[in-house]
Amino acid sequence: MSGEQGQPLRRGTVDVALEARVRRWTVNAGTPGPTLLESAIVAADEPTDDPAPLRVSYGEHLRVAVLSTPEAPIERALRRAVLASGAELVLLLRSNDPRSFVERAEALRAAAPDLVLALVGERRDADGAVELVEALRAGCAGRSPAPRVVVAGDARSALRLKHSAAGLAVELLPDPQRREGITAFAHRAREFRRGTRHGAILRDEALEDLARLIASAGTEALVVDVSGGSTSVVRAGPDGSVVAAHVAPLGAGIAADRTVVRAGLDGVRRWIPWGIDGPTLLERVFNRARWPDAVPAEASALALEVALAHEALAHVIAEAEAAGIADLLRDAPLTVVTGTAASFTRAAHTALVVIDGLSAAGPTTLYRDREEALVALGAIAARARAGGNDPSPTVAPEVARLLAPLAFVVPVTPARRSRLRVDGNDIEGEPLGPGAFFSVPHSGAAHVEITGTTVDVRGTSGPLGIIIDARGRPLPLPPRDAERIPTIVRWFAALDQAAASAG
Amino acid sequence: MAWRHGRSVVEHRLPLGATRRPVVGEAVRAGDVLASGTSLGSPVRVDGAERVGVEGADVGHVARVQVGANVEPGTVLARTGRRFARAVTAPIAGRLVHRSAGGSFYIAPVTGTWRVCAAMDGVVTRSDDASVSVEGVAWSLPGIAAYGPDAIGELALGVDAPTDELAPGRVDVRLRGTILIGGARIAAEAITRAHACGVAGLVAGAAPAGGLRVVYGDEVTAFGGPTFEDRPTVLCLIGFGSGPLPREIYLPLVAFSGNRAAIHVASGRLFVFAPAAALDSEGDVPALVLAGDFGGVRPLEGRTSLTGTTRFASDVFCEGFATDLGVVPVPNVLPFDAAR
Repeated sequence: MSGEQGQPLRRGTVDVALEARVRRWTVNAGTPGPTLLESAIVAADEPTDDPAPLRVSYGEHLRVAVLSTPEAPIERALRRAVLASGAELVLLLRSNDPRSFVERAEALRAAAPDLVLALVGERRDADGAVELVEALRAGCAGRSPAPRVVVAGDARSALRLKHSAAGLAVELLPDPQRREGITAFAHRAREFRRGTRHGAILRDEALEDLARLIASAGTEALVVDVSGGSTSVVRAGPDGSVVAAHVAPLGAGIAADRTVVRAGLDGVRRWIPWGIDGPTLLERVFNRARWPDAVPAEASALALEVALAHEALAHVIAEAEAAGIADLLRDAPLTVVTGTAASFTRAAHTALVVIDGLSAAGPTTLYRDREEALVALGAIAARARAGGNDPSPTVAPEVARLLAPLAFVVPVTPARRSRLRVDGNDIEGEPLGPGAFFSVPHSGAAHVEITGTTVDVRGTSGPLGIIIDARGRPLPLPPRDAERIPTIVRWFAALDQAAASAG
Repeated sequence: MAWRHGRSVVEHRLPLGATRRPVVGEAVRAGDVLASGTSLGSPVRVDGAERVGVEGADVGHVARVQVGANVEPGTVLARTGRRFARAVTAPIAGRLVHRSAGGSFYIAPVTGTWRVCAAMDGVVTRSDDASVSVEGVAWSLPGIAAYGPDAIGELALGVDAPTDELAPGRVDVRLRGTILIGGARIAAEAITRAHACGVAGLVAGAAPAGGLRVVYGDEVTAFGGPTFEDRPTVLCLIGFGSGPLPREIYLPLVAFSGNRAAIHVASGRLFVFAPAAALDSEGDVPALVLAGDFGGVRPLEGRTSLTGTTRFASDVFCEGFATDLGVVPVPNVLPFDAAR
């Protein structure tokens, strides 16, 4: 067997974990770089011919508690570190928390953290932080295994914290208020999550390397991943810098119940384009959460997954807001969607999840992954990077081959008499007023101008054409079903029609 | 295979403030008090190291009271010197809950007591301040989620058929202390009534998620979890909403009626303390099917066949499985004991 250019085919395997099964990609690992050949969904324990398959997994669930002084910058830095690590923030305890010592200790025991991150910015704040560490000892030191403590910040204060955490395993890491501190904590947390699966690539690592690969072409890139059990938003720059928010458990599948706990039942229900009562919706959410890789056979089940994806993404942005990185993660000139959100049969569903979930204010060209191919390439890149190699020259061409634009999304706040011009031609038809949401059929490179506004942007459109979004931010979703349902249906229909007319 | 007779390890989490817990190797019986302790109020912090004139790390050497001990006002916590003694005493009655690395003592008033009962007949295999594990032999049936505190009692039937819903009218005070078997569903009314009547726990194919939210609060998830407070105990065996029990699950429950049993909430399992020979066989259980709208779970019964790639109402293309009630996606059919 030979490859496309007559070179021998070196078959490799990349297993991208879904919820219970895996998406198995067969890869030609020959020169100059890897190419994806075919994929299938198989059981996780299905044997493979590859003696060293590359496995992409979610990793172990890591519970992190944060002990913080009350200053907002410190808390934001700690939140950023946890978001970058892919761990679950189970408790954030501030030194000015009004609870008593015993209540703090009880809260820490109930939270059952695997890892505790403590940060002191200024030496004068050390006393409060020491009290929190003492509460941690009182609550968790008797547990087996006891949580590990990661201490950062002012050197003398960090040593005081280390001393007060006697009996617990303590590590000193760089200050998470600096970039290297976040990287160090994320790396440490990932080692925990990887556990004994040495060589496995975590899904969030693959997403970060995918973003880097895309950005290596010279454009800021955003990768949005909503999967069954986790939700991530990663922004990469051409210089290789990455800002990321990975939240787990939160998603549209096995973490559906957690999405409802975080977003509220009404938060999820508002995205469903027909009337449904809360108890019925909750029943479906719970059954979906306990059925890995369930397929929505009926439209109502699909609508539930779309609604969950909306809220999961919106919630990650809210978490990023609390960490002070939401503006970075909201928009980039190029947005790639992966995971469950990318796998909806209708492209309109994918586009709406991203447009509404991110609530971006800037234009972007939207792409979507098919069958976890881009995630598999991200994992290949992550493995190469872990081995000390730059994966861009070898893997980026295959990423570029697989990237096909879905739509060019242009959010706008129109003036009273704004007109839409595409490639220099006036577009008549849809009225461009506040609240407008429609798609203009178009394919390929596009130059969009909206008169009376500052919108003069270029991007690339695809099957969904150019999406003009003048609904405003935050999205004005009516609370009453009688108004909300027609609004949601109109938004879905606007994009569905575009997809249908594109064939 | 769902029903299994064999050895199981059951972990019991302890709240803060344990005063008594068993030692490793001690034999316990389900329902026995395994550990007990006190609930604590807001503590008073007493600087120890400074008052007795030693380094914080050395306070342990001069301490007169161990962490966890009860103290009265004036109890000497630490003391140095002989003729010119320096001592630190407890300002209030309560418990010494913690001694800090810096040498301070935390004394909290006692506000109540708690106790944790064993959910297994067996031997203690691990015992620390935060949990006690008991290993024993019993019949076990895994469920998908349990809620509330562990429950121990005699198994009693509350329905006439595995497809029935447990009617609130079937629950009364005569069932006090029992673990009641519901059929396909137990609604919130039945759960709260059973709790009011002193029923120890409820087991059924499913419970409505909305009802669970009413009983356990908005934070409740599909994975359940133990609580220490006085709440009803519910074990869902196959799903949420409605879940008719397969005969292979229900008939042994009927056979086990009258036997001692326990619901271990953290692991979501029902244990029945009956001899291995009490059941004839550990027969295969039919697979389970998730409804197309995710609204319920049912056993896969009747004739079935593969249909190949099928387009479903949601526009999803997937391998299909023809059942008596229509074609379902293959991933929506799972063995009863599949990990989920």
